[in-house]
Amino acid sequence: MKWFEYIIIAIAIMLVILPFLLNKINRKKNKGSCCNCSSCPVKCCCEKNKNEKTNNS
Amino acid sequence: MITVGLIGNPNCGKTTLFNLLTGSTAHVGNWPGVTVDKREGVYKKVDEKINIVDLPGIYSLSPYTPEEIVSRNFILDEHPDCIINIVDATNLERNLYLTTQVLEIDVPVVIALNMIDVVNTNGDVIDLEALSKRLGVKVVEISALKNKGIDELMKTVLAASHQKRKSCSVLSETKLSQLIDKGCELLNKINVENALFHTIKLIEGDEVEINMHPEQAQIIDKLKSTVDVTDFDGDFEAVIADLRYKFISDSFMHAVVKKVKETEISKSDKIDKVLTHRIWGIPIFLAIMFVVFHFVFSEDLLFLNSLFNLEISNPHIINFLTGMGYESLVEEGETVLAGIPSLGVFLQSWMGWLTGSIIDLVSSVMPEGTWYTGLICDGVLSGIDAIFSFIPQVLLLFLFISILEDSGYMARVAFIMDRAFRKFSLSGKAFIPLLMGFGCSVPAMMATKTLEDEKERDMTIRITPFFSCGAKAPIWAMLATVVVGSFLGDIFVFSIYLVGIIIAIISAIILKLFSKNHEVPPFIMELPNYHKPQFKNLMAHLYEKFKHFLYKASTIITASIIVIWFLSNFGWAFWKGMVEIEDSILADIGRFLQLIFYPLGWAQGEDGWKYSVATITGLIAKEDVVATMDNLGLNASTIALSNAAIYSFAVYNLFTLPCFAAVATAKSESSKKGFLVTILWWFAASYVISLITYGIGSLFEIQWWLGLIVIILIAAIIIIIASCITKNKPDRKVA
Repeated sequence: MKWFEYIIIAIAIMLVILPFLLNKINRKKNKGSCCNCSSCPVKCCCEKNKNEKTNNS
Repeated sequence: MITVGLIGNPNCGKTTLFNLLTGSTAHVGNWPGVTVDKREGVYKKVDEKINIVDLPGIYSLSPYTPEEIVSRNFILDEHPDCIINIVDATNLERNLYLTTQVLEIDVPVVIALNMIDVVNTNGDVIDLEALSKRLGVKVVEISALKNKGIDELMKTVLAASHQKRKSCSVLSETKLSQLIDKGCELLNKINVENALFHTIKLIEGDEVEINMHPEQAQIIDKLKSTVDVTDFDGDFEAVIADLRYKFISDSFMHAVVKKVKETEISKSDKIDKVLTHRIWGIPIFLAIMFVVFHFVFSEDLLFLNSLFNLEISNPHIINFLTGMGYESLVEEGETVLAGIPSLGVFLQSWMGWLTGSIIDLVSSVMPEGTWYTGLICDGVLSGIDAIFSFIPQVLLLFLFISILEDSGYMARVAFIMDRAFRKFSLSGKAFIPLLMGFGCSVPAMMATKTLEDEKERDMTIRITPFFSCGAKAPIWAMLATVVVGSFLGDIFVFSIYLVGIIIAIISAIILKLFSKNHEVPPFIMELPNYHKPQFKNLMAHLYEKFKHFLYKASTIITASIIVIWFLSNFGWAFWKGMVEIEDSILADIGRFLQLIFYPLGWAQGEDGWKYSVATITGLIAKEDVVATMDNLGLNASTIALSNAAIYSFAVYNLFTLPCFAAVATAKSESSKKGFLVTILWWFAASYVISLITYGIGSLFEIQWWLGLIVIILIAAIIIIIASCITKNKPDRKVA
């Protein structure tokens, strides 16, 4: 295998893992995928983070 | 930073104003109840930053539903610096009822008279000074839709938020004044915040108030026992409501001059006489939807070819209409285009040509026969292209649906459907989340929170995926091009959506058979006025849809395409290198699945396992069905299924489990037992309906009248069961 083939494999594996990784990061940040919508009662991170920032300042 | 709440009746323009102030793109719909929770944004155009809080619409501060409680609790518990009470200026009398209650809270209030442009167009005049004097707070004219009066409103809000305001009540000069004053005194003694508001609510006998403050309720009850109740017929709630309306009508008389008498029928009412007609309402809805599908999916616009045998033989026109798709054939001088493609098909052809050209370009610079060329070109790029080429059609479909939504027609559809739904234990209120299901099942299922009845909520969640979501649209668009008689694409897609709605109703009937009889809460919805859809709103809807698709395409869809490509190009001994697709891991898995799906028609034959795999990958994201099929070599030119099998395949994908995100939402929104039933229901419904569809479709292919007889028999059985159920149902009360 040539050197760039290893890079392609690494990128492909990264792309497969990416959604799970993003999901985990978002969950850690308490961030839903629907922050801009609010047409449902899901608590989104924006509100929580903003409150924290306001309290800290 | 100061905090300002937006409060007002449903559909008075709160979210439109919120978006305008904060630059957000929150979903705006021309029907009441689009917002079910508060959301925040920041306004920065004045000296001080203002935190704007958009609240669900409420008619009064006596809440009944969870979203109404959100609004009430925000005003009372979160101590905003100011409240902007948005009042629909075209319906001042009804909107001011809430205002009279907001004034009873110790918070600065500014009234924003929204839709003033409509008032001016109607020739009506509102005396702002008189209104402001009567209410004791500042009143500002605005048009959130046309961005008028916003700066003045925010300057007034900023000024008001730095001043303290003492609550006052419009009941203070009525026969209740003594009782209210005494109650207020007693509550003030025990340091109750907003004593005036709580006193009046407790006198009214507000259930939420009594449950939240039982001690205060006792104090007020004692006080009430000292009053001669005969003056109030023992019904304080009715007396208070009556006094409020009396005050409003007095203020209204002084402040408003109407050009058109109220007895005259408005333009919206005239349109409603036709569109919400008892008999014609549903056929008109179906006709409108068919026109939409025709303009998005038809390859024979206005049936010009079918009716007038219109054929185009000019190669340049053919190439233009088909996105250069027939270029090679035209060169041979053999092609004739039968009819003109609709706008959706036209856009899809060009998008297909564009993305196809990009793939060709990439392929031409990559070495042939290597595994990475296969992964990049035949896997990732080809898979995403398969979905991407249908995106113009999907966006066009959503544009039309957004136009219907924004104009106010979809609210009427809920009203029309209430008649049909009510008979089967579902109210028109449940139809609002279901309508959202045409977009995405996830917010639709979450929106079922607005339904008070748990059983109705479970039932609605169960049938939500039957309303075909946007992610499924590429599947229909692709199948529409292969269904025999390709000029029937629009009818095919229309029938899929229609079958979805019909099966949803039949599901409700069957589910009703297994549940205890329970009364459906009455459906009361204020029908919004029709208005011209706003270009900005429509574009915002489409932008959100496109952004969502791009996010999905670059994450979960790409990931699944890579996995599918790997599984379809390598055998169990994958370290030995690539193998033929028939010897791949996916082929083995597919052949096992093929046994399960075999009776459904589409899983028969050599390629059967490929369809089986595609339906399973659809669980990750529905767009994956198209991407997987493309990866496995199934496209418009290679799909060799009969019409019955194609329809059966479409139906299976429509009714089977939605994507994992929607399943997770269903789990969080329903009870544990309810969720298990839901999962079983989706499995059973998809399999049985797909089986029946294939059976009937095959009969049609043998002898059309055989299929017709079976359809009539099934319809007769359903009607008999439905009439048995409706016999025991109470009459429709309110709609």
